[in-house]
Amino acid sequence: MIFLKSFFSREVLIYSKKSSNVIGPVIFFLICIAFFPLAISNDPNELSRLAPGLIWICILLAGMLSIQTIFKEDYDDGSLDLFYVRRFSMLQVVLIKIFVNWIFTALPLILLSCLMVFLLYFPLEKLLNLIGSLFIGTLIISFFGALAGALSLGRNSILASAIMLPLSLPVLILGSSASTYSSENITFFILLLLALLFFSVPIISIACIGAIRLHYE
Amino acid sequence: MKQHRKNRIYVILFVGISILISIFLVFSALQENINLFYSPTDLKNNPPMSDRSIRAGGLVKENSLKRDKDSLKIKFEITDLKNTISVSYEGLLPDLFKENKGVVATGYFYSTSNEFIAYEILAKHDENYVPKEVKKALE
Amino acid sequence: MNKILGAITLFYHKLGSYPWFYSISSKLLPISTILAFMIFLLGIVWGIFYSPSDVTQGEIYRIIYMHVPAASVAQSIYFSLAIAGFVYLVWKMKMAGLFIKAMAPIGASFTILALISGAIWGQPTWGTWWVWDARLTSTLVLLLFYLAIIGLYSSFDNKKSADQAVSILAMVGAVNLPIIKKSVDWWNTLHQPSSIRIFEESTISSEMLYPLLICILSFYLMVFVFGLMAMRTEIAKREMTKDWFKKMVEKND
Repeated sequence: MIFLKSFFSREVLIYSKKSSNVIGPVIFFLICIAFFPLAISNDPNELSRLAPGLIWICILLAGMLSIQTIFKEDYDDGSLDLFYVRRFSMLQVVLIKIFVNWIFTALPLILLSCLMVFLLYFPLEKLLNLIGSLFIGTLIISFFGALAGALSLGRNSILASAIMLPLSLPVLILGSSASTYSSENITFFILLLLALLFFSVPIISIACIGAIRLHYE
Repeated sequence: MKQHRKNRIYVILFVGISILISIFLVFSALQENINLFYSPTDLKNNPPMSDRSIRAGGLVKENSLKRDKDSLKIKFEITDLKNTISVSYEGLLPDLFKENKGVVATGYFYSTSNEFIAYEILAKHDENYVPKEVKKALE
Repeated sequence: MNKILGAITLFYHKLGSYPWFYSISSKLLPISTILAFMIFLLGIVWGIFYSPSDVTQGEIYRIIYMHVPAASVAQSIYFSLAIAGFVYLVWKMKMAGLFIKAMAPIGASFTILALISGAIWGQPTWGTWWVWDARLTSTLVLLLFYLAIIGLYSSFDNKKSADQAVSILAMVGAVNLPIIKKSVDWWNTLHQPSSIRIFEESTISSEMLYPLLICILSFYLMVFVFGLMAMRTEIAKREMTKDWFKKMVEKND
């Protein structure tokens, strides 16, 4: 328990010291969103119809930027080696790292998506569906992203995206449907998203541990 | 060593419980009635809002196909043998589009006029493959 | 019973040895190449020239003799990659990692063949080259997974870490593929269900079924041949400097 707490505060400290990790995805997300009305059309009807999909795609793309940071810095400065050599419980390390990364990179984007009611004319009555599905969906994406980041530690960043994006396809489909379709169908999609979350958390975190290990053999 | 073994048990418990929860969630999701593909009966009973494109499907009703003489506009009816909706479409039809055969239309449904304006018509063909001669002999 | 188990274990250990595989595969290769070619020729000629045309689809349905075998092979290869990944991670069998490396490009090629032949088939019959339906989308994602495996492998300099990384990816991908397929499925599929049934009567008439089955068999043989070739090349690349390899090359000269 003490370990959990101190490791958690260590991670939080790192992220709060280096604000570029947090601001980067936010700027990217806003720019991406702003380009769609300019590139496609500024017709409110059309935009509000496309909004859920656009928000989801932009969140995924912004996620690509942040997955790099989950393990990379610790790998570069050697702290990851230390955790590994000192036989820390890697499961706890991985889970905490992913969760803190989610708090600092995905949570701001979720809050920003509320703005889309104005920017993309997203229907207000569906906002709660969107936020709910984003909460679960971004968590799953963080896990897939962590795996992609762990596999491609020290390699080029395009590779990590090429691994993460196809894996995230179910999240994209379920999440954007949850925010598109009427409220009678939403429980279905939310339940499935939750199921996917509970399914991927253990499997992906174990795969992550394996992926980290292979860099030390 | 003891701590190591303890850790392993925690990991196995963690994996097992998570997967059980996930299976439970999938089953409770399947209890929900969900509808993204509409048959004519669905469209009649609880019509979706017309601002969103949907997919509707069924059989093309016999003798319902009407072609416009000067353009590619066509009108036909889709039936699921209980209810029918009329569909209008402008464009080329796939080869397998025939009366009494399956069809999937994507477009907007207007419940007030019971009309479906399609922007895409796809023919659905079944998994049966029968030689021509055999078919003739059967008939 | 113990004897059988012993034989299996022995075979398993032999399978893990490069020299044994290299010598046995050089014997298998010529026979299986001829066999694959003959059976392919038989199936294709029978299917295209001698099988009857279909009532609803006419002649165009004949693309089934390329499309179905290619799609079936593409999926099976991925499945085998996942198994190899599991074997590699659990028992650290070198050959399993090499298998993934060798088979991934072959699987990707057959996936592309399935996608292209499917598009050519879809245009006249469904009325579209492409629909975002469950089977088509999951095949496309299958291709993406193959490409990710190839890309991930080539990004490592150390063969051992590369093998381990692609093993993990192959397994995670195999778990994810059914989920992807199911999640697209809610947009009701356009693709017809499969016509070849194992436990009940197939919905394809037997005159068309036999050539199709022969074609499928020939595609699997083809994969076997290509797989052997690719694995031999990979072994040669990895073991170039080893004694047994040098000796063998000298002997053959």
